[in-house]
Amino acid sequence: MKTEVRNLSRVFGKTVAVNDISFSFEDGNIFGFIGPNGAGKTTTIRIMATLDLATSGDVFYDGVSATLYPEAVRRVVGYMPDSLPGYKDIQVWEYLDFFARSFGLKGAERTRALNDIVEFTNLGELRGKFLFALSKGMKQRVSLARALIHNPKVLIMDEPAAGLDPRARHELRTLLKILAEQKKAIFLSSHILSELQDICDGAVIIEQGKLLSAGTLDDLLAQVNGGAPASPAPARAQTGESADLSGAAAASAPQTAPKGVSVSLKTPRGEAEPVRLKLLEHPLTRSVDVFDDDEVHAIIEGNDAEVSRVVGTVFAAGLTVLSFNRNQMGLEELFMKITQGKVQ
Amino acid sequence: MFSKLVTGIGESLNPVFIKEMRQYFQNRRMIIFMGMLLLAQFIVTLFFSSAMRFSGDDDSSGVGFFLLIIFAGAILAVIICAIGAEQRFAEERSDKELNYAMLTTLRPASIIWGKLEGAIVMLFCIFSMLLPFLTAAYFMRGLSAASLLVTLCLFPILVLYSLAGIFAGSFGMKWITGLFFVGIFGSMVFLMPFAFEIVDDLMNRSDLGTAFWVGILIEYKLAFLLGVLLFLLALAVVSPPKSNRFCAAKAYLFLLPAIALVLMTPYYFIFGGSGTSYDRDFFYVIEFLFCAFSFGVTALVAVCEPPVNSIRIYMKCPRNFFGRVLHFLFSSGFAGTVLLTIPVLALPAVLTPFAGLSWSGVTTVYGMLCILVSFLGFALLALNLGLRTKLRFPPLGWLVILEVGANILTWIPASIMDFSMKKIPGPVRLISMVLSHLYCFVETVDAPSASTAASSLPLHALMVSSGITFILFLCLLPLIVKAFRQHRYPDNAAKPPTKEMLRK
Repeated sequence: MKTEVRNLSRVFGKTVAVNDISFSFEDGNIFGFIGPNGAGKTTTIRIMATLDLATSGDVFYDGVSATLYPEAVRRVVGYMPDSLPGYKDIQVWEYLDFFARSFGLKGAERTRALNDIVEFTNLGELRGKFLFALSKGMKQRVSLARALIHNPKVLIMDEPAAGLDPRARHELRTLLKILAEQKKAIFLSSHILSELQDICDGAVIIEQGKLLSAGTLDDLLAQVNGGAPASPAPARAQTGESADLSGAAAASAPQTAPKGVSVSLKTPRGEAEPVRLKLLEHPLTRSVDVFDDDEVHAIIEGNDAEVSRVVGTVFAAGLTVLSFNRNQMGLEELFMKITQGKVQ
Repeated sequence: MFSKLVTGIGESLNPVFIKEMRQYFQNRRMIIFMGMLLLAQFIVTLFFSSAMRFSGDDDSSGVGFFLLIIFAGAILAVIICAIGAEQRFAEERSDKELNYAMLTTLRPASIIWGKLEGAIVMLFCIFSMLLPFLTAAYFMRGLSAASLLVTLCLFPILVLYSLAGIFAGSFGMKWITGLFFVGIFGSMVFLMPFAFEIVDDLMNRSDLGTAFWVGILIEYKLAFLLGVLLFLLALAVVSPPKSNRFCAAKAYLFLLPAIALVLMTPYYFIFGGSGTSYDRDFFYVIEFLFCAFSFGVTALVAVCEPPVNSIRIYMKCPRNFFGRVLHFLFSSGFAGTVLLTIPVLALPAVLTPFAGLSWSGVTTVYGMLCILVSFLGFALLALNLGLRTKLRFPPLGWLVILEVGANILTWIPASIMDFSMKKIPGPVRLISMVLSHLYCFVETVDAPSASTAASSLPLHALMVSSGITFILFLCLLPLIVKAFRQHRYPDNAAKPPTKEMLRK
């Protein structure tokens, strides 16, 4: 199932919460939705889950509009909100049973669905407990079970790992990977970017309601680490066109020119300048900067082998280098680099 | 066979009803309240039975016992079914839990209906708990079997209270909860003397007679009519944003006078068979009151509605002109609602001279008409201010300000005009007429009997208020026309869902 967010905008009075964003993804993958607080993530997610209506633009699930046919879309979308289950005086099993009945599951089919989901989310021991007696992590699991009770093809999650301890986060990651293996498309927003990097196949970054970058994780990291990005998707996304985050699209996309690899070399104090000059002699070196008289940062065009050759010229010239690092930026660094922390 | 039947019934039940029942019976407070009721009844039974033993000739101990139990039960029912339902629903709204129920295939009507079913079953439970003690009351002295049926009068009122609770809870706002508490206790204080009077009267009768049963039927019908409206309004509040939320409520309000007419006609034949002018006046005024009520709520709905409809509504618009007009009138949006008020008001206004009413009947009806036109005038003014000014203040806010302002401001000048009407000539007289009309509006609203104050209204006040209202309507007309032009099936309608998607 292809999920397509097309020119989505949402305006609250004078505030533009979401400003003409477009991206798409397909099933079997996990996509992160990243942005500072107040960037418009929850608004976008609520529109995708048919809880809110866009001012303009739309979300399509296999071409079916979420604005016009919300009832049909709700059958294929599961939504896990950032808030926790709040019903009082009701047990876990009764709570899930209510949602199973609400989705029209009957008799043995409902019992089977409930048993499966309780086993999958490891809620067996909690089924007779009241919701108010559960910890936050347990409630998150109940919330996930509720979102999955009707076996949706697309799972949309808003801050699912917020407030969870490391063990609960690890369990959640494992569950998400299993769901992705079951060919479900998972779209989740989170502030824990290091964990997103571990599980996500792609990401969408927004700030002040505008799309900053979108693409497969390799593409996004290649943007900041240099090397060859697999897809031109991120560049397209910024112009308001649809950025396809799916792996298939990435594989078939044309290759683009390398952008450069960031390297840093540590030298003895006062010996950085000769290293800088030596690096500048090489035609593949794009820029070199010196920091604190003992650190050289260079951007070198080419792949890993070419970078090694360029740095090798420094060693060949007999200059002293104490350490050498290839600077790898993660999702967190990318986020810090391209967002400015502005809120609306 | 039996288990299959039970399973079949279980599967056909509303999921919200099942959830509500689970929540009711797992709520500690409810269990405590029920236990207290049982205990209190038991103690009171012991007290009254021992008092009866020593009372000698006094044969009214059963009546006191009966009243005590029935009112304690009624208060408990209000606490559990009305306040309990309101609290739970309001919490579900504010916790956003209701949103997640709305993300299922449940319809908003199923949610409200499930909650109502839960409240009604709880009412039955409470009445079942009362039953053994009511039977004990019967075996004491001073109570006839027929007078036990007085409990029938309580049932529709308690269902209405429960519905009012569900309606108030559907907003999920604390200040509305506060208003609901004030309203529920205020109305109980207001109703209590009447209830005591009626019960006292019934207790002293051995035969209840036709009047009692007709009274019960009227009460049930009025409760039904008001209950349906509360249900539909709660449905409108709970419905998803930009959906056609007021459609059912508007259609019901439009049909309410006709439904009331059908329900009231049998009484005309029972009580108005003699065909005196008093009977005609009485039934016409009753029918007109339904029109007035329907009109007033429709005008209020117009003020609450959005200026622009969403594409979700346009997608359901028929492509032929007649269907489009009907869809426009009954869909959400202020424009259609404003237009809908006109036939509701115009029809009885035109029919009144031909109804064969007495002069006082005509004066009463036109007096009420004057108040209604002024209310529409206020609503139109609020809409003009809300939609045409750049103050970004909603029409409903303007309406509240206008109503409160009119109430306060018209007291002083209108009181002066009242004394010096004859001495003021020309244009000032016109202003005084408007002010006196507003004064009459305020007076009528405040007066315990609407018809008394309305009967003193001059007919020209109606003409003046109609003129002003018409001008306000003309000011709004461009916006209404614009809304109608927009109200059409979109040219670029999106792809509908596949069967596979719907089956999933």
